[in-house]
Amino acid sequence: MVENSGGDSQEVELNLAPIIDCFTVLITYLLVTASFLTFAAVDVEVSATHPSKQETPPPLDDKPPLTMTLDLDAENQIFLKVTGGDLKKEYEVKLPPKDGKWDEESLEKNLLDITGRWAAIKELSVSAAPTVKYKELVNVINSTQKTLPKVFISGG
Amino acid sequence: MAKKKSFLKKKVAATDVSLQITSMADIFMILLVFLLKNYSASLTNLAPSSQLSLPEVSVTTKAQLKESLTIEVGPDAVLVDQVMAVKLKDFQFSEAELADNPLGSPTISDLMQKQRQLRPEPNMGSGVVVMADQRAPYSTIKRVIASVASAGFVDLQLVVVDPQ
Repeated sequence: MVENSGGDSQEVELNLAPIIDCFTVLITYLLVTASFLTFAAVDVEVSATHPSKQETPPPLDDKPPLTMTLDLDAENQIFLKVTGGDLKKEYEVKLPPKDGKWDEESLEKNLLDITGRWAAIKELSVSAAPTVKYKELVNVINSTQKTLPKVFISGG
Repeated sequence: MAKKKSFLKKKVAATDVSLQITSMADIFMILLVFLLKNYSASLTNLAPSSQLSLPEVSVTTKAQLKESLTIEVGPDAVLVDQVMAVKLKDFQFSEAELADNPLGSPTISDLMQKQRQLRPEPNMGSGVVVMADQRAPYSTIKRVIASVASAGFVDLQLVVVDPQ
């Protein structure tokens, strides 16, 4: 109630109906179009061929560059291989499954150990057996990126 | 003589009944602010198919999704920017397709090139957003990756759902 100077009262009420209409339309639109899933991305690059078959340019000191590969087999075993550099024999680590799953904990430990021993290793090539599921592959890649952010995936 | 009580109802004086919608407007305002705040303002408008089940991964290195071509690997088809490229049967390529091109699918590569041309300039980036079903076998993923790479796309962004 607003009382004016003249003494007679006048009821001024804001008409909220059109505002409510606008709000209803807007809320409906936002609810329909909103995505309540949060997407994230795992960055990988494609290695044209299998890492073992990859052609690398000859280095200046005639030593092949140090490369690390990670293979996932059908029995949930992880194989880490380091080749090239001063190594006369390739360094290989086999990680057996833990509770029937990929042993990501040991993988991270071994990656830290390898990168500590060979600081020249800055990237990793990943390949898997044909039956390995995409979810498992992404999980393993994600685990390796804690130590080595640059991951190549085999595309041939 | 006592006055007889009338059994007839007295007419109630007409009152102005209006719905009190101020509180409703308040609620709507709060809801609107909440929805606008949570509304994804990302450039990439990802709309995976309903039958696609993306893997749930707590990513360690949070990479920003870039505006680029999208390739979707579902149980029934491979789609490039929502356009059907190849039909699949339970995540598997057909025997004929595998026999003709054992390394990669030229249909996917061609469609990738075509879709790239439709994008606004500059459209020569090598990035591609990959949305693959978590149940897809590596054999299918590998073939798709080989096809994508042969079209000149080598920087992949594997889309996952962040459970956090």
